Amino acid sequence: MTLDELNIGQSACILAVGGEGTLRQHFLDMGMIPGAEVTLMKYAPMGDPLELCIHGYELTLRKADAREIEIAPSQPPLGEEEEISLPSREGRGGSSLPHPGLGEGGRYHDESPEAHNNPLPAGQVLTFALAGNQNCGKTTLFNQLTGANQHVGNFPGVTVEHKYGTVKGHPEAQVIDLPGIYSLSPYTSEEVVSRRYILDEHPTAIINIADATNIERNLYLTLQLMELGVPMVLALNMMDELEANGGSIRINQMEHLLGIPVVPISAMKNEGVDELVQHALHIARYQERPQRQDFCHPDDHGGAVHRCLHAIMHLTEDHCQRANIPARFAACKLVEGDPMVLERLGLDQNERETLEHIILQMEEERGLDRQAAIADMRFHFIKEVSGQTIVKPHESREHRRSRRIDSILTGRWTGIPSFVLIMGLVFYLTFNTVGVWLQDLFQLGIDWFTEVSDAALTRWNIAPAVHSLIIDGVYNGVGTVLVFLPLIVCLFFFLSMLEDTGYMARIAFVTDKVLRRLGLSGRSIVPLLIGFGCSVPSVMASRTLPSERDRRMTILLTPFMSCTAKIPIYAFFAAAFFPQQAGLVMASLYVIGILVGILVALVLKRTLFRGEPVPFVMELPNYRMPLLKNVARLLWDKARDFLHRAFTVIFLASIIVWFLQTFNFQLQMVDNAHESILAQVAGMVTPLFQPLGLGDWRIVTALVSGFMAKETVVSTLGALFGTASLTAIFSPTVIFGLLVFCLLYTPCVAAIATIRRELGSRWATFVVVLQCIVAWLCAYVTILIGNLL
Amino acid sequence: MNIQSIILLTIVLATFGIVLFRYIRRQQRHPNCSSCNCCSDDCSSCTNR
Repeated sequence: MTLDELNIGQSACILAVGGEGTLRQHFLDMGMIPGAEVTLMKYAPMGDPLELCIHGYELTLRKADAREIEIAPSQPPLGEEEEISLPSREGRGGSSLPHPGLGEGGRYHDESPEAHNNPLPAGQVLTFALAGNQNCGKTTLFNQLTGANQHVGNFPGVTVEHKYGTVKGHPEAQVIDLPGIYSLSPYTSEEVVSRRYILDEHPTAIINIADATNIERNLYLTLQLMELGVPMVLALNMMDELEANGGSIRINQMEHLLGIPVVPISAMKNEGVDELVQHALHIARYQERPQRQDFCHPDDHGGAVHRCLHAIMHLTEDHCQRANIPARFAACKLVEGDPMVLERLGLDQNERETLEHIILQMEEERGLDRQAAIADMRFHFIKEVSGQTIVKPHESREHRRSRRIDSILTGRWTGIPSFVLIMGLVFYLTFNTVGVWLQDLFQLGIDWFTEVSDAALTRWNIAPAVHSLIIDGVYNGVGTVLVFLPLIVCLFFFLSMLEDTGYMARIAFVTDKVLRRLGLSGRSIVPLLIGFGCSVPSVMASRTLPSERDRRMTILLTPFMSCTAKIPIYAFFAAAFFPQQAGLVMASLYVIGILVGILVALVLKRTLFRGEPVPFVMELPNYRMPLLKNVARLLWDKARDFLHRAFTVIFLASIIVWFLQTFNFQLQMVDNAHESILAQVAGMVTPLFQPLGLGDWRIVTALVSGFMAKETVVSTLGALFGTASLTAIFSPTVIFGLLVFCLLYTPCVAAIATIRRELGSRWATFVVVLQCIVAWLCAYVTILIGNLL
Repeated sequence: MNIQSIILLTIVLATFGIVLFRYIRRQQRHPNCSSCNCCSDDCSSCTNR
């Protein structure tokens, strides 16, 4: 029997985990290992994916992926549960442990007098890597640690964002916020950059944050971090929530079993954070490494995994030293088949064969494949630690509340309508009320500033060319883009609220089945929907997508979602040429945009983005009230980022376009727009538009000006055609073709600049060319059909 | 062209030149760090040193 055949509410024990590569590793990393108990909670409104409960937390899984997992309903775990007691460390044990004395002269970690004779030099910068699962409060902790002293940057070579900052009150201590990850396997860019950072950048210490209400899954990453042998402190977050629901953790016992400092905190309430900082500074200064890295037991299932790992550690010891990789970490990764570690160690043929024999022997003795064996080893250790240290709470208030809310927001008949309602509300508030009101206010400010400057320039008798450069070039160009800022801030405010409450994960859950047909996952729905408002925040929102492939494809599809800037074009022509069917014409344009987008997605799925789809294994966190401080900080980051771009790329582009519009090839200012360089260049391109019936330089010039901002198409047409009647020059069929062209051709320079920043120049150029070709073809087909009817 | 025009034109063109220079330099120095907002040599968020 497979997992997709389970009934709602039914529990089962996992027998075997199928699949391969990334997918299988994700299953194992999320705790879906042979012997684990899993319960089916519900199906998404469209029947796929599933919501499961495993190890006390909710997880989504596609039906097709669930078919890879063999289960046995209501059976005891495989084999008899062996009673394994964790070996106690010398001189300690039992229930009455003395206080470890963490941070109090470092008594706990190493009691030899010599251990504290070599602290790092005073004043040396201490760098801390902040690592943890998603949804464990990492961002909140980071903000508490650094306050306003933080910056946003990028890991080299990838567009994985990270934040870094200085700990408040400790200028010598820098914290870098690594991406939220569940494991250190090499399959997602977040995992790769995290471990590369720790192995290559050599942070002084690691602060591992774990969700105390979901500690078993969080400790899976903790064990892997400990294997790296870097000084480390474990922060147990959300302790207030755990205790409020009747749970508790024996901190001293956990420290004793893990061999690292464990600090209970509540990042949201800023409790325990000072103590965490003290512990972190101490272990960093004295370089106190984890006292335990051996999580395999010689008596566990005959000690097969234990012998295997230790044999590999001995075999590869010299290679690990040369490659500067901790031996334990390398051994586990070699068993898991990590290609990056294998390559980095540079084993010779004989060693590789020996390695393979050792692993095969382990698989035979253990009765599990290599990846499952390692995952099982870790979860076994975690289970023992949990059993000895955690008093489990009854079902938390937060979880009960989440289930009640989910019964409506992800219910079979209420899920989709709820989603439509909530997104409709976000759009309404952003593009009809709050956002637009702020935008109008901003526009008033920009207009006032422009008027004042214009008047001042006139008063000072500034030369017409310079006057035009400043007002028509810089102010109008940059100002046209700056007015997007309130919309972006407003939209990201609502988006971050949806993200931080946990609803974003539900949106992905509800819409995954539809998007999967296009080669995307449910997570792409939000950036695509935002594209109907504006392409710029849509492309920026795609950063939340964990898969590089999905992110790239989503960004390529965003321009097909008709943004609000094109509405003036539609409204202008619809009113002039289709007065009785204006609404129908506009609606049909949106539908055409979506249909063409779907077509392009299907083509891309089979061409540029062929290959294994990214597994949709996602945690559904409890609903939480977002911390306004976090939201405010995010908005400030986005606004600053946008302003930076406006005053660099847009500023440059505005001046260049102004120059092309104002001067002729003899570098003289022109009175007649027809003589400008832009019009001459547009004239060269005009023959391309002859087949569309748009072979008029004025139309082409207006389309070219739309590259700066779509709204300028209408104003340029007005200026170039003057009082001439468009209805006398063009037929309704040709104009509808023009509308289709405007719908689909290249996005504005702000969007292109954003795409360029996310994907690079080649992809940005590809987008421009692709959009123009698709727009031309669709316009041609539209006119053909129109002429036939 | 009067002196005020020349001064203003110089300011605008100088700003254009500086922005363009910093933009090109950042692209050359940090070709993979497409979202790094800093363009100084000490930028610790980009390790393309």
